[in-house]
Amino acid sequence: MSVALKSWRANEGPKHLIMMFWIAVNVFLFWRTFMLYFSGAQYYYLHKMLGLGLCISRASASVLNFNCSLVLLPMCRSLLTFLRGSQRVMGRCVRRLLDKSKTFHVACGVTICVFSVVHVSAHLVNMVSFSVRYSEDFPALNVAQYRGQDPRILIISTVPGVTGVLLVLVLFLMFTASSYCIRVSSYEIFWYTHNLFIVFYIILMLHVAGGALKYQSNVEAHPPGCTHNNLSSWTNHKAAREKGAEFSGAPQTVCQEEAHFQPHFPQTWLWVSAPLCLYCAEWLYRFIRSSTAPVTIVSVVSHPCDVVELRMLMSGFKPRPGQYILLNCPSVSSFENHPFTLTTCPTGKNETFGVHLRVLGDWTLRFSQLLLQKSNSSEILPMMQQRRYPTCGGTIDQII
Amino acid sequence: MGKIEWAMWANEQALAAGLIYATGGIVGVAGQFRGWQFAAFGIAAGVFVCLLEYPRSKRGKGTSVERTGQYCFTVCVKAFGPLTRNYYVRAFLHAALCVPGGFMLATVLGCVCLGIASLIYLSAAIHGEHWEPILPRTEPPKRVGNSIKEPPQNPPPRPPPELRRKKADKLETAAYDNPMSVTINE
Repeated sequence: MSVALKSWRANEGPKHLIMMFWIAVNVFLFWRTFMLYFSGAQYYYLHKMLGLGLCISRASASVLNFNCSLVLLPMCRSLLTFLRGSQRVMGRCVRRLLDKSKTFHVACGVTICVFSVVHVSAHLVNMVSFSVRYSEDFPALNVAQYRGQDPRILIISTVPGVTGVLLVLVLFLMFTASSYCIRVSSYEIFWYTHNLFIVFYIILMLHVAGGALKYQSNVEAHPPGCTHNNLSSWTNHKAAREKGAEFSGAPQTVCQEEAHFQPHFPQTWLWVSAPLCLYCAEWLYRFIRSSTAPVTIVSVVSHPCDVVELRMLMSGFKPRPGQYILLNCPSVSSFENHPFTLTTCPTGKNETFGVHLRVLGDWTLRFSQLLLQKSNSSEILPMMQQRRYPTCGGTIDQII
Repeated sequence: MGKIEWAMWANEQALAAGLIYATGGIVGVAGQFRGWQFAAFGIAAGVFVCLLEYPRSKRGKGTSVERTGQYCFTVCVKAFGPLTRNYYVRAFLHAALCVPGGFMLATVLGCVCLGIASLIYLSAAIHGEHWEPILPRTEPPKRVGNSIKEPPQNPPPRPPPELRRKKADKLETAAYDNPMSVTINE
């Protein structure tokens, strides 16, 4: 029993620890933003107008910021390969954690979907509040143009509204195509919809630039709840009543100036830009590397049961046993990359590396047809790009 | 790009859209917002779409994975025959169901998502797909062959014991250790 516990702790413990830490950060972000909008002085008037919807929508937005930036990191595969392979830094524990990158990506993705639902619901309530509780005292705070304006018009006529709807649609497409069933039956649907993430991020950058929610920038000069000579007597009465109920006998402060409101700096740009730049840089690196180094096919062998063995040569390519490569053949399909585990690695005597592929789907069928028919002619076979990644299941590092 | 089964994706989308539609409807009715009758319709339509879309269709090629407990839904949906088999009918049905959702704020998203699902179903129908029920296979149980009544009389042929014995000088290169001794007289 104790051996099983010790080995569980060594094998699975770090993964669960990271998960706990990630959940804790999410909870902390949600709570901190919620309390900021609930009791922050600069949001006093906005909170009075919108109520709980404001706090929930902003809190879920901060969780969304965090997860939208994290979701890209497990997909920087060359960086992960480099980290995983570097001798100095990595022990078995960290290598096992790096193998779980796809699971982490899925976890962040699901969190994004769940909190998007929360965020959208809260903002729909905010739209209704903006319309119903239109403020004549603080016109700068309003998003609606008049009291009782149809909330649907508010969605269509504001930048955050329109971009929000587009974001939900893109997320809906990406999410429905990512189920296990779809990935197994038609991977192309998953792949092409998932590449809409670029559109998602571009629209996200625009979504936060709308500036619908404003904070009060002169809290010292105009403490929230102070009485103002020009305000309607109803507001003064209400403020007086509230102040009176809370602090009986406390002197009411008089406002020195009008409340000034200012939209936020879009925080999302700070969160998202670094991982996005990293991902784009990595994609560029992969693209350049794969297009400048040509791959030559040395031999094609046809085995029984629809298996084709492919031997290739590429200069400067040093894979290790257990890794897999992604093959892309533009003559078959320009955008599809298919993974194959390496069955032969280059050694000192023989520089070629090889894969065995089984002809099962349409890509492999077309590919094998091209290979086997062209092997009779003397012309050079089509150039292929390849990329190399560690496999998640091939190298098993378990601490027993 | 090979042959894509659009219907499978449309099915996932319609199921998700039905849930969104129903949720939006619940919010609309619970808050008694203006136009809550559309929200009530949204609940009914969302639930109906979920029930219709829950049973997965059988794939044209390959193994079909059914959803948990979908057999009773399969039987119900199958009972409607060509109405549920044909994807054109489904596409227009979803398009018609989604329209009232656009009139109320809470159900707007459900309306749009169901509309997209309806378009994908239209694409599936144009590609000639149709809904096939996944039914449990009723094969006759495998019969045991006749040879079990006649077990073999002789052991399988093996090389003589002298060759089977592991040579002592090759012990270092031997890839395994024999758990039992293979020499004759021990």
